[in-house]
Amino acid sequence: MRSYKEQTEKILKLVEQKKKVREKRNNILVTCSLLAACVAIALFSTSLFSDLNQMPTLSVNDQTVTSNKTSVSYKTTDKTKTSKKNTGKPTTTVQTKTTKKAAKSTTGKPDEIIIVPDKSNENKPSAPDKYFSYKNLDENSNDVIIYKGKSYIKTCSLEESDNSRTKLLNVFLGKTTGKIDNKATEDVTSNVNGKVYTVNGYSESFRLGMVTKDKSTEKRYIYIFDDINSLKTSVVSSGSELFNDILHIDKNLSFINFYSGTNLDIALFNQSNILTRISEKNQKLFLDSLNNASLISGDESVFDNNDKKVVLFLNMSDETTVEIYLTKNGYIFCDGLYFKTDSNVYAEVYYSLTE
Amino acid sequence: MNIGAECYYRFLNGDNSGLEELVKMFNDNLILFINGYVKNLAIAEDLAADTFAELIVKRSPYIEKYSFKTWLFRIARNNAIDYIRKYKRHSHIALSDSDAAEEGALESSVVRSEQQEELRACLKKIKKDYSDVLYLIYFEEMSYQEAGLVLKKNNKQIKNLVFRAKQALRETMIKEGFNYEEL
Repeated sequence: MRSYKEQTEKILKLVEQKKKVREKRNNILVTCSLLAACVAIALFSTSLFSDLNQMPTLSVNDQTVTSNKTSVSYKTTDKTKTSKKNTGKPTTTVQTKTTKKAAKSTTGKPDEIIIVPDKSNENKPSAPDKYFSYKNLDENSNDVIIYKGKSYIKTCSLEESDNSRTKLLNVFLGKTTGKIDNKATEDVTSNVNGKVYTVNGYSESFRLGMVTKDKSTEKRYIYIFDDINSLKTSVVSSGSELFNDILHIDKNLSFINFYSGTNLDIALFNQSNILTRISEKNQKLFLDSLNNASLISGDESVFDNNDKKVVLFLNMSDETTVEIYLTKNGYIFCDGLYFKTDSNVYAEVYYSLTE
Repeated sequence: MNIGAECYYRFLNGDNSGLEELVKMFNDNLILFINGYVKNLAIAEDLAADTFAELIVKRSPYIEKYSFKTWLFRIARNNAIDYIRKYKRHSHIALSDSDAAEEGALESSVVRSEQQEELRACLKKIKKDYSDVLYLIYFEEMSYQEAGLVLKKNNKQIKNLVFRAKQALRETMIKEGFNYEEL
């Protein structure tokens, strides 16, 4: 047993030891807290930086596809705009289809695409090509496929058959889930659920196809998606470059239907064969005049009048359809591009179709 | 009066004699109390020193509210239990002859009368909880509330515990041939 004095000394030693231990512990706690705060800030900054980097690669109105980081939002046309369209203004590059059921949702009322370029992202560093952020695309937006950083808008749909599938679809590119999420790691993603393929006879950089199933009708459809943005920034300068080089109308044209009138919403369901109004020879000459038309930097205002419009439905041998809008003054609209022609044949055909 | 608190504050203000007085006042009782748990005087002595040191370093704010002694015993009990948890294997080391002699000497400093000697002998034979509460009440002269604080029990629990402890003690004393009524 220790004496009281020894015990007191022992206690004093213990007190010193405990004080040192407490100091060390406090220092460690402070250090850990600071470290934790630093780590939290770093993680937050990283995630924020990463999110900003993952903004999408899309641009529609702004045609410069220089980077994968342009955010896009699509708005469906509201009633006011629809009524405007009824006066005869095609608002966007929506082509029709051959099957009525499939076409109802897309071509009867072509939606206007409004692009909001995300300027906040302009100075952000590039993210890896595989990672995209599509926050601005909501579920009501147009059907779109994102492939290798490019956006493809649905322009045509047809009911799937063995024949159409074999004819149209070629290389399988990937499966889409129907949700364009922020961390898509696949090369191909879409807000439509389906399987994406390249399309026979068309460049992969311009056109993609998708096989999808309509839940309501239980029928399978082939949707055609075109990269309209690229057209606007490409070297297209004349009609032939679009109609022949890209859409291959010269090789694949099967027959042409037309609609004339002011209400473009009913055009799809009021088609007639063009040969009922003009001869085959005139049809050929007319197509030549389209090919010779020059690209202009027009906008929708050229259709903003009460004149009768003509919509041509060029039915192709591969079962796709190309829509071309014509006006009295020689303006031609197709796939987001405006052309102008002064051809007499054009004028003749226009008057024949609008009589 | 809060015995020990004045010495405690004196020491905190830099007067080392305050600590010496505290040690003189409580060291033996504390060692004996802790020894009831760890069954080893040397360890009990170390734990008692550790208890004092802890009270000095932590500067418990409850000393003014309760008695210094109560708080000291409470910390001592916690230390003893912690020690047992940590070193379970060594908690039942048999006492050597010298240890037994030292324990006897220590008890004699705490136990003041023959009656208390008998009581102390019987306390060793009853349950630990019972012996603890009776030790605190009869030897350390704590109130029920203070004993409850040391043993972490509320008033009702401590009353029940004291009641049962007394019954157990009576039975043991009768068995041993002591007269319970005289206590």
